[in-house]
Amino acid sequence: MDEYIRLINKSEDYIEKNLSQKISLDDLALNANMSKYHFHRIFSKYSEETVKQFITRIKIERSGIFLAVRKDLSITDIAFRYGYNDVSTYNKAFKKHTGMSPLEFRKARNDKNS
Amino acid sequence: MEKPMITVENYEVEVIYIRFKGSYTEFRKNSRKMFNELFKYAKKYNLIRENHTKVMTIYHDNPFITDSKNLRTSVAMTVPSNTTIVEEGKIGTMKFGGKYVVLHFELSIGEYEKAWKYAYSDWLLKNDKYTPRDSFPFELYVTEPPEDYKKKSKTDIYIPIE
Repeated sequence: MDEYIRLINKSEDYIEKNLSQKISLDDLALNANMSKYHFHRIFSKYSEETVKQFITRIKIERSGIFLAVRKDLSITDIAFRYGYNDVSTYNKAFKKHTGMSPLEFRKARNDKNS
Repeated sequence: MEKPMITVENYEVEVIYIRFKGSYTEFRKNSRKMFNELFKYAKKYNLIRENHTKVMTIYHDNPFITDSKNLRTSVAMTVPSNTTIVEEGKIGTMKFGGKYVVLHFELSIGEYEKAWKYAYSDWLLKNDKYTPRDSFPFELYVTEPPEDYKKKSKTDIYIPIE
């Protein structure tokens, strides 16, 4: 069990270092020194979300921090930084996760900070 | 809480760590146990260097955005360079670094939350001098964390900047 927690942590570290990339299951399995099949099975069993859900959630949450603190960047810039090819895919994913569009989120967080 | 001295540093480090997932309240209940486990491992493999080894808490997520059940916090300890580390049980290794603005605090045990609030809400985000970078911040214990409520210890808060 502990070994698997460590493996999931290692995958999280890899994902956090590669937020601007499209991260594939192959990359993660390679990073964990495992077959793709084995990696996916273990991740889903010991984490409460699938790898794909985890990657999406981390990208949206980290981009949310950036939306709030980096007012110098446009929403399109931020979408690119987190590996989205176009802003509408990013908008959709963001709204699905947070219930707000990136712009609404940025405004709401700015209000809190001022 | 006195206002901190502020410096800018390039900091590169390798650590061993144990990660916790869950609310900060739950983390605080578990953190001593986690630090003890880290110390035990470091002693076993002779990784502690007096005056060099530093201990820290890493905050991977932002509590305003991430659900408290998903918040990830790691306790970590620096390891000597050029050492081969055997990952074992829950203990993993990680390298990270870059440019940081460092706030040097003297804190009593009840002041940590206030220090973080000051670092981000009252200072960094009201200041145009530094641009936040996408990486995690951490608190590094310069002196031993205080055992009782009256004493203060030196703690540096590291915020990643570009």
